Amino acid sequence: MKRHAIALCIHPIKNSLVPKAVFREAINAFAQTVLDIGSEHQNIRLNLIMPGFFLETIDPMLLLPLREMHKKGAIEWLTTGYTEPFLSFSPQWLFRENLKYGVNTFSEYVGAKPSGFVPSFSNWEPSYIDTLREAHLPYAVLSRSLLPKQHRNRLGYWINEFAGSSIVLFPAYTIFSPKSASALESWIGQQFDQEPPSTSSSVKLLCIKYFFQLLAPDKTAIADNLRETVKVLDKLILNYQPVRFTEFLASNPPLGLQYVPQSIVFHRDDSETEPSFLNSLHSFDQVGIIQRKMMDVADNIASRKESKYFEPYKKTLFFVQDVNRYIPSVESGFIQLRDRMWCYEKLIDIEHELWERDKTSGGQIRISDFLRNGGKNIIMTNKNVAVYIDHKNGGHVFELDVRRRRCNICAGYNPVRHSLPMIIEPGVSHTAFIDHIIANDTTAEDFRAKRFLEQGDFFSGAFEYKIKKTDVSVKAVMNRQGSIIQADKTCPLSMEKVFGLEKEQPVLPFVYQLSNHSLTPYSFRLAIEMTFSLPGIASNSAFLIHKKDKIAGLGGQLINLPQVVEWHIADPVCGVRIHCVLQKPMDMWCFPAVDLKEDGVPQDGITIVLSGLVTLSGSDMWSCMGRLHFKRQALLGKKSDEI
Amino acid sequence: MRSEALDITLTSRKGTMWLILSGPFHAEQVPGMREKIVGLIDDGTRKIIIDMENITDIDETVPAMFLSLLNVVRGKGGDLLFVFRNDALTKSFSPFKSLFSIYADEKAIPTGGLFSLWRKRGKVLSRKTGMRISRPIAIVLLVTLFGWILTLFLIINMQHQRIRQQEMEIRTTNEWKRAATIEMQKLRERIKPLEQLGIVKDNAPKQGP
Repeated sequence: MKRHAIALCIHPIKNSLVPKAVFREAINAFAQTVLDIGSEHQNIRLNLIMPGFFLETIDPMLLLPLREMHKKGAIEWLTTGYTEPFLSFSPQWLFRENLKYGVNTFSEYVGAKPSGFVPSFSNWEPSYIDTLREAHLPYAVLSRSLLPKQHRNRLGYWINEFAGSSIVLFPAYTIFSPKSASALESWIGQQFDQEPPSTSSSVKLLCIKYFFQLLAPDKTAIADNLRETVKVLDKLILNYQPVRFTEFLASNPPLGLQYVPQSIVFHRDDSETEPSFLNSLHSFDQVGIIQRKMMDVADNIASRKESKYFEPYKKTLFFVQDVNRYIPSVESGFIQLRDRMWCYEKLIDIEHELWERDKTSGGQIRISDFLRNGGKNIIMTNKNVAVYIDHKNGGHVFELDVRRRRCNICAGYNPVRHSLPMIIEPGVSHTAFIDHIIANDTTAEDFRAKRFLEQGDFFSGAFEYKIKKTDVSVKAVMNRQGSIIQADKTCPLSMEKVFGLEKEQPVLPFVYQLSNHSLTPYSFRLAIEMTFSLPGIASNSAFLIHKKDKIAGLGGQLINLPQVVEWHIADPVCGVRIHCVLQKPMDMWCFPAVDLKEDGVPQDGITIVLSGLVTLSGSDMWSCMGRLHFKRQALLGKKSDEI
Repeated sequence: MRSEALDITLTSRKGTMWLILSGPFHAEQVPGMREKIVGLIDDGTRKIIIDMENITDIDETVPAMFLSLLNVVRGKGGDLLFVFRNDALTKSFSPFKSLFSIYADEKAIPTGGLFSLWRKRGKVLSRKTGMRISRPIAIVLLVTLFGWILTLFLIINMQHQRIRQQEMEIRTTNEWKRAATIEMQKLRERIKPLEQLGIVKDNAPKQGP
């Protein structure tokens, strides 16, 4: 009697960042469970999916018996790469390096190369077929949701073709621990029964992808459930043969050809996929900036010739390109401040190392298409601060790295989605130095509730720029000949906005100069909006200092300080204290960056508005200077080594 | 936009201004680039290294623009150095290659030798310490330092001569001693028969073993 086949793939998953010690314990427990299953069920064949860095963490005493299991043919190794790279978001060379490093890690730790590739979240990119073939990975396992509906119930494998290259695809059914074991037997029978009748008498293959949650609270139940699942397969062994993918591939023909476009399965058991998922991601702030920064650092490393020095940085980049840092979920993804700060920390650290290696001094200024949207951005850097300016869209500062603390203080989450997919949308994105021209009588509460009429076009308009560099300083001078509404008439106004970095100091001086080139007198309020991300807001440890007053509870109130020339904001969680000094007094409004009415959205940022009345008579000029000094604040607790 | 296609990085490395360009260099970017470099020269920068290795495409007006800038900067006692080895640029710059200083990479650029290093080190020190000294004082200090070093060499030379003289004396004394020993031996040989006959008595004290 012909037996159909079942390929059980076990995929241990770790989506969130955890301390290394916690992860080590979890992965060792998983390895022990697999070994127990191997000894209890001698006839079972398992397909184990692992990123390379999991193997580095497993206890060598457990790796040895796993090697033996592989030698006996009880398990087949599959990999996602060294980490779980986001294929659609990563530079091609970085994925290639990640995969190569992952394959080498397998050779080193388990003495065998992986046989297949499993993209995390079934993030399939057909253009990577050649890369997989170069890495000697002849097949990939994907969610069956990626296939056309009429082919989803077919049991077997397909040949995927793209631009003259092809690879084997195994469509898999997804099972989440721990609820599946009891109904598994009938479910398996059902899958084989519901497959459409076929003229060929070939052996059918049911591919089951079993997600083993490494960091679930009830680890014992999950391990028991896996044991139970394997027990069911062992019981059905006379009807269905458990197989490894390569052995099935060796003796069975494919179902046919299948084209699978670029895709992702956001929810792992989702039956509907979203083909334009990148548009969806890019309608949020931050995710695109992290990706752009990762690509910028990756390009920098790729351009270096002496690659051996940069291997550690590449390894760090493999972790930053991990899909779990981007796909939003309850415990991980770009929505989580911890994930964002972690990515920025790693990237800023690499940038700092490269900076030191280049022996750069006295500041650097770059004009490059950092946001990769066809325009140019101004990036000013010294040893302690990096400022990223989008001169095309209001001259905003969209990233402000305090390099001493390896953090970007403009990394706040914004629940409001962009109207079109773009990295930053003026007027929506939470950036710094957004210039609003508003009515004189606008109050702090009006501003917070967005009950004001924008009278100028400076918050989103394009600025002309000039850059200056000397041995010890860099400067970007931006200028816009804009307009404002005065007494229902559009009047000309020019704004000059200057940012600079002096020597290697952690200081960002800024200058605003407004010029009235007409003879009409103007009167309006200039409001300079800055949104800072402060992780200490959630734990109520961030505070504002004005004169001798220390104001806590920044995440839940509107603070209005009239006519201030100096203030501090300190966050002991990220260890940064922002000290602002102004040349002339301005009103300071401070309120939570995310509206408190937004349920479930984490409070991790504050908006600070420096507001002042401007009265300009004909051909008059108004200017204001200030500086932001980024000082170190004593850290609250020790930073953990999360992975 | 064609006028914004070029990526520009301005940085200081080891005290020298580097202008790193990458991407396509179109004719539309020539006036802007000229303005930027003139701005640098006006701000007091005299030596600029232009790294164009990552330029992917270049307009034929670009070398001419750099040539005019080279005249400006050399007129002010500075220099423009170029770093590239890619084919497109090599071809474009070939009519002017005897006029430009072109290097294959950063390592190929001459550092300027010991004096340049001293000069740079001097600048760094003065910047770090904030100390400034006038030229005559510097000359006096240098002369004093030179005098100290000269005196030291003189003392060493005198000591050397004295040691030589003493060596000569020792050598002469040793020669005399050797000759005297031989002479004494000869005399001893002569009086030996007389001693054996008992005519002369040996009064010299007997030496121990």
